[in-house]
Amino acid sequence: MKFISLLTLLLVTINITSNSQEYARINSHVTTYQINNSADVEISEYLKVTINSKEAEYLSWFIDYTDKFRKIKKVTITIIDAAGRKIKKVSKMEGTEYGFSSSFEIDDSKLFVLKPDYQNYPYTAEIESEIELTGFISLQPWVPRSRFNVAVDKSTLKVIHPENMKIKILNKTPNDEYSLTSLKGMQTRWYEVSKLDAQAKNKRYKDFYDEQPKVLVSPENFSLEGVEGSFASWKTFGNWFYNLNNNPFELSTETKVYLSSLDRSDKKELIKNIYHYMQDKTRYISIQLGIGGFKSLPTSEVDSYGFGDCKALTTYMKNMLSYTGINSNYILVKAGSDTPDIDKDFPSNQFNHVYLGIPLLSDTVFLECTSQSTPAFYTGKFTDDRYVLWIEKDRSKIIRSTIYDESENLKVNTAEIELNSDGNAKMNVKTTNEGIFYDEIMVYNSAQQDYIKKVNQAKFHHKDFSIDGFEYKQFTRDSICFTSFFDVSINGLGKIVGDRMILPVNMMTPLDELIDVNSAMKYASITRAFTVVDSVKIKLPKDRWIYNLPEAVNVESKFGSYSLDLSHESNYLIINRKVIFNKGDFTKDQFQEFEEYFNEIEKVDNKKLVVNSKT
Amino acid sequence: MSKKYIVIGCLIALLNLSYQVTGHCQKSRIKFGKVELEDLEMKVYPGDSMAPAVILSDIGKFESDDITFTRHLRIKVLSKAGLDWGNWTFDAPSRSAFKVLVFNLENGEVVKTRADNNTIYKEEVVDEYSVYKVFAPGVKVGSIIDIEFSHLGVPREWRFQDIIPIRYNELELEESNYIKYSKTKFGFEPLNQVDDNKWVMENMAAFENEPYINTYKNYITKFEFQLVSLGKPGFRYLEYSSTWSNVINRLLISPYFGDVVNSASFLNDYAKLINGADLPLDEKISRAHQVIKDNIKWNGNYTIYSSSNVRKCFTTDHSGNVADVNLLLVAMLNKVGVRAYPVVLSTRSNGMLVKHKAMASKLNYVVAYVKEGNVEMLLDATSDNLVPGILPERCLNYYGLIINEGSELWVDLNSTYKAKTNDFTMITINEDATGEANISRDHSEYEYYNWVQKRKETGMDDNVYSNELEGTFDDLNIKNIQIARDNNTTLSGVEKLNIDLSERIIDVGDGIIFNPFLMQEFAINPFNSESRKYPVDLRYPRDYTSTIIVKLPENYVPKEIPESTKYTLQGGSAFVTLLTNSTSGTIQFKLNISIQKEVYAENEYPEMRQFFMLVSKLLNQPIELQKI
Repeated sequence: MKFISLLTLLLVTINITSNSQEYARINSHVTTYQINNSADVEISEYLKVTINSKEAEYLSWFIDYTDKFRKIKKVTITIIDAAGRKIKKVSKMEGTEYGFSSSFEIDDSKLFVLKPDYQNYPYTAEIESEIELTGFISLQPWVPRSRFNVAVDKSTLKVIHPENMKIKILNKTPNDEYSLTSLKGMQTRWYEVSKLDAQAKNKRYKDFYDEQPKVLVSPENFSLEGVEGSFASWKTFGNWFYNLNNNPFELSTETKVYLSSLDRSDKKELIKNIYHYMQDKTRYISIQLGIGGFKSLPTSEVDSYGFGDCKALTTYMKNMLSYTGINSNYILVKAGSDTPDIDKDFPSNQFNHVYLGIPLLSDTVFLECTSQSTPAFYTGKFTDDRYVLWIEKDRSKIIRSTIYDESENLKVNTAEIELNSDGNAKMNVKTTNEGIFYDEIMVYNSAQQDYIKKVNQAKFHHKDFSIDGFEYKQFTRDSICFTSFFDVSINGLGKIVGDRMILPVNMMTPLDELIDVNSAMKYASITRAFTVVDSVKIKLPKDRWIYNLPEAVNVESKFGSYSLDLSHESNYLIINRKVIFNKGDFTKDQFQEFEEYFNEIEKVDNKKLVVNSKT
Repeated sequence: MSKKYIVIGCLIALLNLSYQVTGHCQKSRIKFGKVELEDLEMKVYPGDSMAPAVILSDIGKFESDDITFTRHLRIKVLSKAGLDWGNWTFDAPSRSAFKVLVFNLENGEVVKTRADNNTIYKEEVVDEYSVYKVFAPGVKVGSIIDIEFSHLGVPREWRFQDIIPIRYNELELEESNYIKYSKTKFGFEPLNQVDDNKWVMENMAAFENEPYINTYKNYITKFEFQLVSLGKPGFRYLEYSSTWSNVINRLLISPYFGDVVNSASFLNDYAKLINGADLPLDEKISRAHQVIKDNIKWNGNYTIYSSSNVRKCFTTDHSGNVADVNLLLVAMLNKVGVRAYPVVLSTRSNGMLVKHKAMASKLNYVVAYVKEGNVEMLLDATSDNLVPGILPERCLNYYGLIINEGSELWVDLNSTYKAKTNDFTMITINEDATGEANISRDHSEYEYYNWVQKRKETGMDDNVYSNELEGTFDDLNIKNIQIARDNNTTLSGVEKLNIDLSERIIDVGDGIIFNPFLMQEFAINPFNSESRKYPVDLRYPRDYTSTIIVKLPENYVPKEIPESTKYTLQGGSAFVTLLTNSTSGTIQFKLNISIQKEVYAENEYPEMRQFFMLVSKLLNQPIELQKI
């Protein structure tokens, strides 16, 4: 469990490569969760896997992390060759522990890696391991087949716990609980799946993972650093978090003086001012000490050193608000721009981030406290549109976080193009990003120049062009909006054919760059509804004219709408394009329907214009 | 770029010398703890208005008396993006090795805050080995951060340039009898040497990466230091490889290098088998290479030294590091009577070697070099896909050192192999402005590897791969794809595409317009920037040929056929030729694009960019068909 920050958005997700064959076969896999009490759990595993090729070599490795609460007691890896001979055995002593975190991080957990270093394919690896937890709030979900191209003969989960201890289990396998036995006050629950084929990587990992049989296990009661908590309901878990962080606080005199000096008549203005104070004074440092570091650093430390992790910065903000008489609430969230939602019917710790909600008379506003530049009340892609846990004494509950809709998520491109008779062009584009499109500013605000150039280069889709000028501006600190300006030289925008010139109808972003669509993997994913409006004004060469302008196109569907309209205005050609996509994730049959719509509008978008000679 | 990770892992730190780190006195006018008011008031760095932070000064000094290197670094934070410069990691034995002080201007007064126990964390990296993390307190926009640290010996490198601008940079190296080292200069900025042992650089611009650069490490202006000797002759004295001949001699006698090549008796049986058959030289080489590939797979580790038990790697584990695999390859070749030597090198991402300065610590890879009769070639057995004569892309880094007794010889690593694509396209255009194309594409040599890689990334699923292709080349509607050949011994792969052209054809009433160049690798000019600071590294030469035959609908003729064209880069290092021809009912194109060098110097850039612009124009040129 890690708490993360807004910075994580900049990281790229790892691509899992594999091919359509069976890279490995799990012959037998037995996982045992022996829960003795809330502060004593043993996880033991026995895995026997046949590895057919190098692509699945990773299955012969043992990789896990350890920290103050998680000890690897035993690991052995035995290698058996294709002829059934035992070749080698490695154990814990031969493994390596690494602790390496980036400069803005302090982390006491370590990665443990043990590799048998054997590569005569095919071969069998037998891995036996025992892990001991001396404090925990979650157990990792049991997923028998978690990768492409791996088949499973049989996989078993055993959950052992005292009869009088309440354990929460969510069984997402097609099979019922296999058996339940009782011995000497201990209860054993069995889950089993068998005969899972290797699946080719011809679908999204997300769709693959969603389809997988799995079992979620969580204790109902837990204990962390001596503080007892309960997952009986979201309310009880909320109370635990509330109590853990509801401590007396100390603000520095300087801060108190500042807070006292603020005008309190307009609450939203007051909150903004305090938020700016916090943003200008602090920076985010990831502090991963103890078990996920649920407890916040003291406010006094943030106040005097000017840094903290998400809990510390959020608590600092909360305490400053409280000092001025404003009540606010923690909100626990599973953060990330493209993160699967939590299981809201399974109260357990599924979160990695915290932010702040402030109930006001007319509405509730939200603050993300790990960014030094985010506008007040904007939380963005990092935490939007998902189930989050609102923390309030005895009233904690799951709520849906802010949804930014297609009227808020707006990108407006206004372009002026001067087209020469040789087909080359100069283009000035002004792009206004609103709503979640605002998040694009993060690269401009924090990346290095060479990376910014690369990102800008990818915004245009001409065959030969250069960006001669670029600027971006955020006109006011708290508007969820910024504007960028590009000067672009394009060679061959118009293609000369005899006395004609061919021009593309769409000179801005192609449709397939706007959304995540893949016809081979059969999915389209529009995580957030949005609108893109282009108005392009082209000054045609004096001796050129378009005699046959295509008719306006207007397509409406349940997936969104598309309109394209061309007109003349003195010696200018005006192209107006408006694209709206509604939110949705389409696979299988739904995708077919979506694809029909998409192909229809893409066909219009790909059209070419014929520019004639006036003579 | 390791901007905040200072490695004090100096060259001698592990030798546990009993020298005291004494108080250090900076002779420069810039003193730790004293900053100029105007610097605190600075809002924008005049030399670079976009800079998130600027290094106001960076002063390093090696003092011979206490053989200690001390660095004093002063950073000004200019925007929120520069706040990261307040976070530091020190690889130091104790807290006394560094100090960090933050200056802020508050209500016109200078406020100093020192990093103390509350803002310094110790973090264990591996057993018993820790680093210190410092989160400088109170860092905000406008702050100045003073950092001073010292360590025994000389650092691995000294940078005169960084990813943010540097206003003042000074390096002073006193001569020492105890520690001898050599230095190698990297980068393009001329150094300003003020006396024998002192360099001062002012107003250095931020280093900016460029696309198609090998690695920034080759071009950022810096010294790299290499230890030559330590201690005094007659006392505790250690000598390091100060010349490349030294490196060769050391490797030849090393149990983890020379001994591996010379012994490896477990290969004898395999050798006997090959020697028993009366085989021509190339077949012997190929069989020896195959034996190694079959028996030992690369485990991904880079090093020039073998594991402690190479026999076990080969006979039991069938897995080993680069040196295990390729030193055994050399041994195997020798055993079958093929004269072969190891070649040590630095991989592309590790930075280039310099022939005139020995840099033993920069060597991270070994390959085999055969010189027998008139056969001369380089071999690598770290992947199933490699054949004798071709090196993987990671090795294509200028030159490598041949490890052979009594001579210091270098071998050119840049391959005689190219990235080749050969297309054959049949296009049929119908009267109703529809059409289709059948393309056969043959990717060979390095392009074969690229092709295999792309297919692997799409899970070897032809549908997914074809979809990716459609995304790369716009307006391409692939109806069918077939992998006709995938041969890793001839390094050749052939794919056949059937393409629906209807959406690419424009009906203009009295005619039909379309672009016959469907595969667009060269239709996009990759060089958007007008100027260039560093060389363009294309990894290998490129050769693209395409034959296109267009079948016209009946009663249609081309209105105008593009002229045959030839354009050659000055000196002939790249050329494009387009031959066009029209016979009744067809038009034919023969296109050849040849880029014959792998690296183009920065001064060749404007012409080269021009070349790619011209090619782009050529390939984006539609033709018009007219009804008779």
